[in-house]
Amino acid sequence: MFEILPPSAETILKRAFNNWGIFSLYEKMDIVVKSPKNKESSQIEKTSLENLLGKNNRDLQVHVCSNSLQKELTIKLQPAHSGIIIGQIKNKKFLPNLNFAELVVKHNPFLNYPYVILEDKSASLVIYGRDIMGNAIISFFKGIKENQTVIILNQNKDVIGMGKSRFGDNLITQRDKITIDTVQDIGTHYLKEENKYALHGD
Amino acid sequence: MSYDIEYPNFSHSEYSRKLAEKYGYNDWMISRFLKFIPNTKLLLEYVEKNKSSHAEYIRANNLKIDSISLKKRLVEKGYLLKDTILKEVFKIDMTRNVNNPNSDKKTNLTTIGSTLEYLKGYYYIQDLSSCIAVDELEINEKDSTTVLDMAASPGGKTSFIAQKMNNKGNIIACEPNRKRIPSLLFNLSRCGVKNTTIFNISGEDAEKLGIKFDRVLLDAPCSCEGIITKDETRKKSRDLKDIEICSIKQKKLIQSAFQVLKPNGKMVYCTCSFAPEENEMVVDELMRNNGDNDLELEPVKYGNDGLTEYDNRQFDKDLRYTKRLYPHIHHTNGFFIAKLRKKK
Repeated sequence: MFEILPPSAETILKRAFNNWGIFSLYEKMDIVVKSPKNKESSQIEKTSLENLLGKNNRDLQVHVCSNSLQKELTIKLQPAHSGIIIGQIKNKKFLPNLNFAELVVKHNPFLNYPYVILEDKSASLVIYGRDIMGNAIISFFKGIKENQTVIILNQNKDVIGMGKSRFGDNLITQRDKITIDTVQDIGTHYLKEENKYALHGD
Repeated sequence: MSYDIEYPNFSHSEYSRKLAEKYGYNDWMISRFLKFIPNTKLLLEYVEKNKSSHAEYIRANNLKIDSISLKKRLVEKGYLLKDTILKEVFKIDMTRNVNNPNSDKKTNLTTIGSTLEYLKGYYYIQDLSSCIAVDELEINEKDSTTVLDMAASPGGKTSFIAQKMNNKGNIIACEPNRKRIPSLLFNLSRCGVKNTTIFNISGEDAEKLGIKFDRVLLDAPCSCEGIITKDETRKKSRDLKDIEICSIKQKKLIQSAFQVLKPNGKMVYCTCSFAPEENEMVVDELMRNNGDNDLELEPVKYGNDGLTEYDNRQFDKDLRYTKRLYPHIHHTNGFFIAKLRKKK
């Protein structure tokens, strides 16, 4: 079910946008959230209980619409899908996806966020889920901390995945060691869908 | 002399039987093709020759990258790209490498559907015919434009519409088959489309949404005769009953599409079928049901003129404004495009 952004989720999202250096973009966005349909009834009960306890732990998918009309239509007509998904709010945390990473890269040109840039051969492996060895990293954000979400880029600065750092600072480039676990990549999801509808005259 | 002219009475003629036998089609298909496809034999030869390497087109997704930068990146990887009549669309020659264009040897380039640029949504593999249909919608980049895509999956035309709108305005995409929504969603997400709202409903029910549209695209479900080059099973997997079933459905859909158009709104009706029953007859019936005061056909720019008669039946003379695309003539899928404007 689509709904407007609850205040608790708004705070979480604003913080995330700020952390990734794109806070100014947040105000310009028409955002709706979707809670999973099959869990709807139990979620409502859970939410009521959580509200009593002062918590709100519902899992919410975050969708960005193109404009306020689309947002209105989405709330009113409850479609199957609307806009573009930029991540999920789970356990009071925003979990960004690759679309969010694209926004960050596009609107934060000074690379003022946790990122790594990989040499070509490793980049082509990361596309299909391979973890990252320290020596594959040719450039990185100097403030990377251990266990931090990082955006993985190739040399053209295309987003090719998102990962979790195993080390902080310069230890990220240790030779012959996996220093970043690839969490999301642009290829694996595609493989699942590959050629499903290739014959249709689209 | 062409056989098409030599045998004017085509129905189950010896000639159509021979062609059907030689090229592996149902006889009824060939005898029909001979009535309305120019130089049918050339089409059949073309299909045979190109069944493993049919013309492949890509459409640059300008929501993510401009056409020139994309072309540069793919050429650097060795792909040979040729311009087409649409600035966003390139023809890819997979049998040639840009570094050695005169060699007949097959290249070892990876398929065009597995490059980084593809995964990033920088382009969409899409036939030129489909792109022409979207181009004919004449979409302006305005916040207030509302477009209906009546049969959206897997999302190629929807994402091109979004591109034409520069992600502004609103696209309502209908997809009746729930199982096809994930692929639609995936493609829209890959292409960075955000101005689209997807409804799991039939296009016929679009009226229930209570919205009127500036543009409607009806890429109608059809018998898919036009993609024989890509799918050889089409040579024998359909019968006349299928065409009839499709035609009935299409007539309902086009009427629904017309109902939700705003005055002065435009609709593009298209199929990847050669059958007049799925094309000119559908449009002709809409015109008969709604009259000259309500709608008019506008000329489509590219292709062979649509039929104005078939099987002793005369269609509205303006059906000549519709266009037919043929693999052996236009190097696209077999395709039909009609463009209509609602007058009031």
